Amino acid sequence: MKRSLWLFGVLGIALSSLAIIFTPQVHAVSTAAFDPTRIIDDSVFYNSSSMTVDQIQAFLNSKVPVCDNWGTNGSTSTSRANYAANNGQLLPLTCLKGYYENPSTHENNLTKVSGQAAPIPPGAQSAAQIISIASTYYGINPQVLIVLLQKEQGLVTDDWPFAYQYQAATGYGCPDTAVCNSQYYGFWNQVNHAAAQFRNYANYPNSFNYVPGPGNFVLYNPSSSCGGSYLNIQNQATASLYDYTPYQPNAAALAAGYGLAPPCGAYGNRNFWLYFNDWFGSTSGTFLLQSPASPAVYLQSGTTRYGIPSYDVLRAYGFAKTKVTPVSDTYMNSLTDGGTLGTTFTVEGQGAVYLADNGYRFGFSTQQQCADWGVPSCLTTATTKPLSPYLFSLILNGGDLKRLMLNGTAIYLMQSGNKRPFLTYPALLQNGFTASDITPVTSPINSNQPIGYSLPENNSFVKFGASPVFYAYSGGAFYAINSYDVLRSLIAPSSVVMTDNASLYVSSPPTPAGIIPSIVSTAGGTKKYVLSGGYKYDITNVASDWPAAQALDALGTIIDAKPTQAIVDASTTFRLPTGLLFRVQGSSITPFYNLADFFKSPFNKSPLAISDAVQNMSMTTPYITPGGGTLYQLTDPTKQQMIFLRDIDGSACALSSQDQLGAFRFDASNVYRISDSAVMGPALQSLVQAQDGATYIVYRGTRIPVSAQTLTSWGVGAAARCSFSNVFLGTLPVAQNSKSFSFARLSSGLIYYAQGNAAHQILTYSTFLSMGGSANNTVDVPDDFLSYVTLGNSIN
Amino acid sequence: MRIKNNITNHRFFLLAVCGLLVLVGGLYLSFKHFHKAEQKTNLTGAHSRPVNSVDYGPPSAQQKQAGDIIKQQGAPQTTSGTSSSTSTQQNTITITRLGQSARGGSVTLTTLISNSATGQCVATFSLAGQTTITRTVAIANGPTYYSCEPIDVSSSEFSSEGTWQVTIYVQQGSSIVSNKATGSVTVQK
Repeated sequence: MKRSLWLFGVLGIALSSLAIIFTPQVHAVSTAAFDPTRIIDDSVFYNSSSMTVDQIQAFLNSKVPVCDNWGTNGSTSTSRANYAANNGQLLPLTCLKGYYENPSTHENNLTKVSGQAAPIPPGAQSAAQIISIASTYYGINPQVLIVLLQKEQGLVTDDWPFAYQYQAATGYGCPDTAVCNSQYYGFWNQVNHAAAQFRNYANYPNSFNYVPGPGNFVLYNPSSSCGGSYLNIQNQATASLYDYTPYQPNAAALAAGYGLAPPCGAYGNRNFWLYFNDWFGSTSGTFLLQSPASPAVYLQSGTTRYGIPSYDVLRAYGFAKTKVTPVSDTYMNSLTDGGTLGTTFTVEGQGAVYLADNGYRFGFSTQQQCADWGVPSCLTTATTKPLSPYLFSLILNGGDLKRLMLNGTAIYLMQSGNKRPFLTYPALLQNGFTASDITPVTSPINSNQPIGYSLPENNSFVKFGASPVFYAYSGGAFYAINSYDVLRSLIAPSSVVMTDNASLYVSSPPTPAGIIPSIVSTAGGTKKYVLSGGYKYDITNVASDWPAAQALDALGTIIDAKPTQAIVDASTTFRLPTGLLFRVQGSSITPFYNLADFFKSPFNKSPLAISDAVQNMSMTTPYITPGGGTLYQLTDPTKQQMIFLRDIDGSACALSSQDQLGAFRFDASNVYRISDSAVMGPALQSLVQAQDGATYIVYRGTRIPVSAQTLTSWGVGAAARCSFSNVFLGTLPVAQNSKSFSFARLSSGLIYYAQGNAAHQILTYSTFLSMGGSANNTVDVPDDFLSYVTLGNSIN
Repeated sequence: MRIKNNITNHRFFLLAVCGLLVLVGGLYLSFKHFHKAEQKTNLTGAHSRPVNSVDYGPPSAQQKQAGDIIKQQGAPQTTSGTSSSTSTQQNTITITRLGQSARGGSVTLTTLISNSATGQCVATFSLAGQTTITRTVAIANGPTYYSCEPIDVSSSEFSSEGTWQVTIYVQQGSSIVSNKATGSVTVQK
């Protein structure tokens, strides 16, 4: 049993806790939120469809759950029944929830005979119906009328109301400082006159004391000695409340909540606000309205409504999170249709035009600026709507609209309705702008201007879209670079290279101020460069050897930014990607046809890489190292069977047989053409002259030194011979048996003996041996040996 | 042994129930807290309940007393017809609005008259060296107060721009029966 009790106890505590948690709590609103300039918003005040008749009836029922018709309740010393009798009231009393009145005869169901409840008159309407019909007819929120009944006479919550409370139910015709006017007596009269009056205030605001705007002096109390203050009334509904009850609560009245605060307290508008908030929620409707008739959302500005075409517009004004207030069709239709709201607006009574974006407002300065931002008609009402000062105050001040727009990560110059992108931030600075010239824009509405021509960074390289053409941009002008060779030769490590994939230049490339060739001059022609092979070469000192340079002083900074790879002089050689080595002379190419010529030349420094710069130059006679061993043919087709080599003196020595190719180890794969005017020298023999004067017999790829004495002994005359450089001859190995020799053997096996300055054939081998011949003193010689020795008699 | 087990089971059951209740309560409070926070951000005012959220609960004690306070004041004194009764009290007139709507616009003067009043309102607009403008208007019966009919003076009637002194008072016959309320308005033509 004890255990059971304990169990129930614990469960009871737990359930009680839950009950406390889930019990509806009454939250009395704090007067700290009371704003005398904005007691209630128009959208709430004029929302005549906020409650149906049934809802009004249910509400009235809820506020008087049990009507004390017979005055049996109360805890005062005098019972309610006696109190009522003492005040001339007949029982039973009728609460508002049970009140009926015929709107035509004004006969009601208040007690006429003591002790007898009056019947409901024929054709009578309930209080809820009277309220609902009046609110609909005059376009006033029924909640406003309900609160009015409560604040004036306490009728809504009174569970034993007196008849005279119905007579002056809304206080209409009952000045605070004077007696009531009986012509307005009666519940129906009171409700309808009050509703009509509120409608009049809205329809003819200037005919009454208070209007939206500044300069409204509102007293704290009917006694003017209590003072008052000037109010900048925010809307017509609040002005209407002051027109109806011309006092505002002072600080003491606000601090008292529903209570009194003599001597200067005034409670009408304070209580209106308190009751409304406690019973019907916030009096602060939003300025975004929607009526049952249409899904369209409107922005209310004063008595005008503007259609909201898209969520982006709301976001531009910073109203995206503002709740939409449901209003009646009547109220919606009562507002002037101001057309569709855009993102440009003005303020009522002011001429300034603003752009709304991301909750900020940016002021246009000039008509030109409107045009630049793509809203050329922004100073006309066609697209620019005047907003109330209140709405204006909700939009954060972003300052003046600037000339540049930041949208995403791109910054644009707004010009003639186009947005021109800066390709880099330095480009922005170079155009005379700074960060303070930028207005950030997020709304797609405000950033949908056509894209214009981009603004590259000065002294940068830029290409547009898929086009392969690069441009050097300097001083506001584009210079086309049609050659990749020039481009790579001009771009420095520090260069800014951009690709513009978006601007108008992609579809409409710029007209270049010039085309950058390979050979350029800067600084007034005092500096000349070749841009080729990926490098910049300074040819200032040998400019006369190169084709004319194109003056590009405007690109001096770009060209100077590229480091000079080399200073070209008269001895500089170049190398094409094909491997061709050459010098540039007289605006032509002087090639080296083979490496031997190059290395044997005095211009054998490391050649500079070059490419397209020389592609249009003519080729002159190649540079040929005299005696270098290079083979040539004449250009005359009839003489091409003849092959020559260049003698040391510059003349041409004709090869007499193909065998000489092997004998001299000539490179027959590279035979170059020379002009027919070449000076012909002696025919090539195996006996050749070295540059240093030495004589050799060249045979089978070797050379046999031949002394002057030996030559004499063989009877070799002083005829002209082809001369070779020592470098070339040095490439041929010396024959092992090269020495002074007295015996010479031809390839046929014939052996000759030098004697008496003549060559004598030895007819027998025994004779050769008898003459002391052996392999050691016998030299193999080519067959043309006999053509330059003196032949003597044979020796048998 | 079985009794012990039963006790253990009971305790476990109770603990589980209590735990569940606390959990549900906590979830509810959390939901309520965050839901409330969301509502607040949706409102433009500093109120805890959204627009048109009707409270169908009973009135508070303070709200219920409203009718009793009215009863304590007694039945209102009554007059009939369209004219108000003459008060023996001195009327106090207060300027509630005085200004020019815009450059070149008319100048508006509105007032509030304490007590009941009969007669008419006389307003003068004066500036040194300029012709004084005088307006006489009727007293208007508002729903809960008296005032002079609003006065509008076209800017063209002002002979010059400048700050004009304004005086208004209530006159019965040739007698002034109120204070003279004064103000000034800068007129721009």
